[in-house]
Amino acid sequence: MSRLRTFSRWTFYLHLWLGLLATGVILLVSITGILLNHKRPLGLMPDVAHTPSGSFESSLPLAELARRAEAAVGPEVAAAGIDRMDVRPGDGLVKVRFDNRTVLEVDVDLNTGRVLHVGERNDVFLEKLHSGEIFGDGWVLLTDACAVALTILLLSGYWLWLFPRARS
Amino acid sequence: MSLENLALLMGLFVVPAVLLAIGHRLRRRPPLWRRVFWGGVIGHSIAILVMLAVTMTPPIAWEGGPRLRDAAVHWSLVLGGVVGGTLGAALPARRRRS
Repeated sequence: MSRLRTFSRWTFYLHLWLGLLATGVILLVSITGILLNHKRPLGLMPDVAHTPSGSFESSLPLAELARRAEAAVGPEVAAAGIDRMDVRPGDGLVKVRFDNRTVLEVDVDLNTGRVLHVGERNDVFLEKLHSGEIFGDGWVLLTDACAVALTILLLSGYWLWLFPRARS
Repeated sequence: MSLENLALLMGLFVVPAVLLAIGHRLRRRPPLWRRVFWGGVIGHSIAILVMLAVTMTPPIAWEGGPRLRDAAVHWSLVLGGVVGGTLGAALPARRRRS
């Protein structure tokens, strides 16, 4: 058996096994990736159009803005704690994201403290699912392995397509 | 590692690997073997679709939520393969046309 034939046989079985083993993860990563690419039109994250109601220098203190956001979501969600506050001076608002199961986000006017919108950040969950982080910190290695498997599948697939007779 | 995560890993990697091993030289296997293989393939394929749908509708964390959803995400793949294979084995053999 020639070296080329042996290599092609190995490539065929590698393609077969890796393809079958990585199907579930590749499907999951692909679907979540497509959803994340279109998260705004799909309504997976709140997108509030707003113009600043005052200068950035006259903004309310962060603690006050956080308090107003907590009042808007109620004590149960507020008890989960604030994950982050994303200040947007250009839009004149701050996005207060809570650390609860549904990842609620409250958009608050920087100057008046008025609550502009309350909604779920579904894209945060999809991002964690996409990276594997949803199952635990070490699970990102699973999606790493999936990416490596996909690269090998591409290369072996091209080889088998270009030289179909090499293994027979 | 929790039992749920172990079940998920088994469903993702062990079940397809076992099906691939059973499927090797399938035409030379006895009819029971073939029914187990096709039952497992169909069961696992349906389970992948179920798991993906349950995981993302709605797109919020399932842990701390309904227990049925949590179980479906972690266990559907392994159960789909096993139940499909068992059903395939239990079904009566088809007669071949002469």
